[in-house]
Formats: sequence, C-alpha cells, structure tokens
Amino acid sequence: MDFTLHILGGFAALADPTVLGYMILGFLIGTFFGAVPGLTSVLAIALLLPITYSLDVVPALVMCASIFMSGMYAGSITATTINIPGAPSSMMTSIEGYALMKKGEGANALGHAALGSMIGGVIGSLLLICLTPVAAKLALLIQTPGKFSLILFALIVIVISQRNAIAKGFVATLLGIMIATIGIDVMQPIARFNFGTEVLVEGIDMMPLIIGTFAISEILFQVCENRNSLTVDKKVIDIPPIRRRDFFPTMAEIREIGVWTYLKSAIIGYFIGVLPGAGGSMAAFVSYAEAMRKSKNPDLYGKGSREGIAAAETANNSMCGGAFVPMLMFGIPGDPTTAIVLGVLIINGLQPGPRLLDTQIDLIAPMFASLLISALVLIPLTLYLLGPYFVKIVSIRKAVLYSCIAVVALVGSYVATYSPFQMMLALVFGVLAFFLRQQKYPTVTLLLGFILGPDLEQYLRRALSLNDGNPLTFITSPDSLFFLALTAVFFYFMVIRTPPNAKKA
Amino acid sequence: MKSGSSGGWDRRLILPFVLFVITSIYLATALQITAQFDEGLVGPSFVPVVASILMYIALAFVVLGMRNDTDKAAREKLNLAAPLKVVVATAVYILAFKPLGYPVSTFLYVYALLYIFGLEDTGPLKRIAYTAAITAVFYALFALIFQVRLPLFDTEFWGMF
Repeated sequence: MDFTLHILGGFAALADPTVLGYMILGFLIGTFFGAVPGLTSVLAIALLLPITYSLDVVPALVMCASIFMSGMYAGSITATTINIPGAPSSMMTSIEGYALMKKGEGANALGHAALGSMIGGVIGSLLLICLTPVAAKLALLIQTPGKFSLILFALIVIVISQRNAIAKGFVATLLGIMIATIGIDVMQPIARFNFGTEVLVEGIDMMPLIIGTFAISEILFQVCENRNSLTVDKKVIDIPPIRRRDFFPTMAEIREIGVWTYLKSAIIGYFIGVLPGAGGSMAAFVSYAEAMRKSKNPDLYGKGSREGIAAAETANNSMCGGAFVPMLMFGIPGDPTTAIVLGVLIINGLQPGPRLLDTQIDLIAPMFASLLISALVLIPLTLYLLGPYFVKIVSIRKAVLYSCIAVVALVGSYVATYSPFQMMLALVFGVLAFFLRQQKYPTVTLLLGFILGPDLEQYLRRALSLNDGNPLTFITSPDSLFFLALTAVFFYFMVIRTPPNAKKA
Repeated sequence: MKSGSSGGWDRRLILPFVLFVITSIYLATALQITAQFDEGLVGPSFVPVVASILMYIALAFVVLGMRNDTDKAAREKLNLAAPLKVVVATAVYILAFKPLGYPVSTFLYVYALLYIFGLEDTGPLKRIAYTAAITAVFYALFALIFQVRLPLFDTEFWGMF
C-alpha cells in the first residue's frame, strides 16, 4: 500500500511546474536527438550528466526518463519519412514505414509508430511499477557469492550479445574493468595504478569516461564522415507535405493488427529490456520477427506492413521499462542509456539495490511517472504538434551541431570538479573510443565493464574471504549456482548453438 | 593482408598492439602491488592479473579473427587529418580554458571547430556571428541557468608575465 501511495506521489510530483518543465524539455531533447541521424538518446543523457550536478535529483531523473522514452520513439520519424533510422532500434520501422511513405501513406505510418510506441511505453512502465517490488524481494534473497555470479552473468551476456564481435566485446569489457581498478582498492586502503601521481589516487570518474566515449568520439567520428554539411541532405527532405489529419490510424487498421500483437510485443520488449545489454534494437527485431511469423499477411512484410511497424515500435518502447529493473535492483544496466542513468543516481548519492524502494522511493517514483506520462501523453502530442515539421527540424548544419555538442561536453566535464583535468580525461577517453569504434569494438561494453568491474571484484573477494578462500562457495550457494547455470545456458544458445548465418548477421 | 596493408603492416593490428603494450604495463604494475593485509590468493592484485591474462587471450582471438574478416571498411586507409585537428584544437582549448577564461577560449575553439567541420556557404562575418551565438548561448545555460562558476579571465596567471 505504501508503495502504491509513493507511486501516486510520483505522479503528483510531476504537477510541480519546474519538474513538469524538465520532463517536457527532456522529451523534446530526446525527440531531437532520437530523430537526427547520428545522434542518440544515449548521447543526450551523456551530455545531461554533468548538468545533473546543478539539478535536484527528481528533475534530473524525470528528465532522463523522458529523454529515454522519446529517444526510443523519435527514431521512427526519420526512419519512415526519409528511410534513415534516427536510432538503431528503428531499423525495422524504416523497412515498413518507408514503404508506406512511398505509397503516399507516410503520415499513417507515423501514426501507427506513435500508437505502438505509446502502447509499448505505457505497458512497459506499468510492468515496471508492478514488478519492481517483486524484483526487490527476489534481490534480497541474493547473497554475496550470488551477487558475484549475477554480475558475471550480466557481463558475459552483454559481451556475447555482440554477435560477430564477441572477442572485441571481451577486449572492451576488460579494458573497462582495468580502467575501473585505477585508484583506491575496493577492500584495502591502498592506491592501485596511480603511477606515482596524486590525481589518479581517487580513481577515474565515470563522467569523463561517459562524455569521452559517447560525445567526444562521436565528434571525431562525424568529422571523418563530413561528406554532407547537413545532418540530412536537402534533396532527401524534399518530400510531400504531411497532414495532421492523416496521422490517426483507423479502427479497422488497429483491429487488423490486433490487441494481442500489441500486448505480445510489449511483453517481449519488456523482458528483453530486463536482459543486460540487449537493448531496443534486439527488442524491435525479435518482436518484428515474431509478428511476421504469426501474421495473417506475412506477404505484406517488407512492402509496408502496419503490423510490422506496430510490433517493432511497441517492443522498443516497452523495453524502456524493462531496462530499469536490473539497473535499480542490482545496479546492472540493461542498456547504455540506463548505464548513464545509473551514473546520475550515483552522482546524486542514490545506491541501487533492493533497499532503494524502502529508503528513496520518493525520489524514484517521479521517474516511473515520467516514463508513463511521456509515453501516454507526450508521444502522441509531439507527433500531432511537431510531426509535419520534423523532417525540416532535423536537417541542420553539422558544423554548428557538433560545435555545440563539443562545448556542452567539455564544459560539462569541467563542471564536476572545476578542474581541466576532467576535460583532458574526457578527451583521452574520446580518442580511445574513437579508435575502438573505428575498428568495430563495442564501446558500450567498455562502459559496462567500468561500471560493473568494481562490484565484480568486491563480491568475488568478499565471498572468498567469508569462505576461507574456498571457490566452491560459488557452486554450493544455490543463488550463485542458478546464475552460473543461467550463464551457461545463455552461452550455449547464443554462441555454441547459433547457426553460422546468424553469427554473420 | 595485402589490400589492407601499408608497407607490409596491416593497420588493423595497431590497436591490438597498443592494447597489448598497455596490458603489459598494467600487468607489470599489478604484480608490484603490496597488500596491507593478507587476503589469501585474492588480494588487491588478483583481479588486475586475471583481467590482464584474459585480455591477452581476447586480443589473440581478435588478431586470429582478422584472417576471416571480410569487412573492407576496416582495412581502408583512414584519413586522420580532420580528427587530429579536432583533438589538437580541443587540447589547446582545455589548456587555455582557465587562463583565457570561458568567453575567449570558447569563442576561439568554436571558431576553429566550425572551420574544421567546413561550415560552407558562409563568410567570415557569418561564421563569427555563429561562433558568438554558440559561446553566448552556452554561457547563459551554464553560468546563468545552472549557476556554474565559469572562469572568466585568470589575472593571476597573466600577472606572472
């Protein structure tokens, strides 16, 4: 009952004009970053991270939630209208949406994408609100050896979900773990890897790593690919005008898609979100494939299937709710965006874990409410108000855009400690991430290795210390054994039993 | 290897080689860590040593995997001139940030970035206008809205000269 009251209190917190303003601002920023090809909601939240030092925790978390939800939806706008997915999770939408656009039904496709995103976002948020207390109770049952095995499971699943870059994923993860070991040891009061300098004794802050990996490397990447002066070419945006009245999907179309398709896609998306490292792209792909498998009209797929759009968009927005569960309960981010939201929590002194719901639910509840309201109200409202102009809005000068990003990123790095050293660290990590990305190393695993590395080490050493150094504790402890067995199952199905053609996908 | 090689050296090997060197330095440092109290096998150097060994194995897999890599883009020669200019401009900006202060250093940095990114169809006056606008907008955002104390001009620093 207390939990329900706190959740209702979270909705009440959104009535505060300041908090509401930050939610709407976050939604618009997320929509812009999600829709502009090359920019992502991850970058938006990475740039927001330093600003959270100056914000209260509730507006910061509310803003993160609305950026996450809108960034996931907004990719469908450019995917449909100009066949360039603004976000990777909108790849499936571009196949079906652009086919409808060519038939002159682009506005209708955008309407279906928004409806799917709205339904998925709402169901994902409701599942998050309903299942978080259950997850918290389960999390309390996990003991120290189990916590180690759970983090190991998360890291391995994150790496093996990189498909054809598993070895590179391991390299990036290990690099993240190695960077995280710089500074004071997790168990003893000694400094490691400071190389005789004072500045490294306190370790590497998460912020320059995030800013460097996601913002500076993106600027370096874009300056390499600076073939066009605009983010979207002028010739591409020369499309027929979109009318607002065409946005609304008809009841016949919704009936044809079916309630079950929406519901199933939302459930698929949510549980893929719970898996560490899976993310919106996998949610959209799995749900799209499942919808096509069960479809009454599979021939329509690839030629403009509204069902395909609904399945993909419902799943990727439902994923948002699922991704928060492991992050809040175990400190294990489900995807890169929640990895940075975790940074926001830590900066504001919130410690993820099952006790979070007991001690700081009043700070977390507005974030849940923001996810739900963003999906239910802001997605359709934004499409209706800004839909006809979006393609023009996202076509801006790259030079101006990336200069702005560079200033926000670097000055933001300075904000945390008022030290240019943090700015220099961001540049160093940016250069490192640029070369890693250029050689197709997944940089997300670098960040997750950095975040999860200290906990992995701490639980490993603590578990062994408590059991006289006996490693069998990881097998004799039931919770630990469960996660090790789960790791083996995932490894078997994702690496060993994967057909060769899927490995190349 | 021929297509991607320059002077018999496949450039894709550079990054694994750099990571190999970094890992070796890291491992050598890890082996010198002295614990304050005995934890048995898993002391402060345990995870760094295991991470280093796993890194060597993963790098070996990466290098072996290059033989089957059909990605031509990864083999193409990379033009690093523009990113290098951005890195140099950024490094200079960071070094000048406190001595010159936010307004001057940011103005020069943004102007340099607009130049590197090739802001086309604009004369110098328009480019200066863009630069001034970007500098002012983010000054307002950080200093006025978020109340961040941005450096203005370090008189102590310049007083030394």
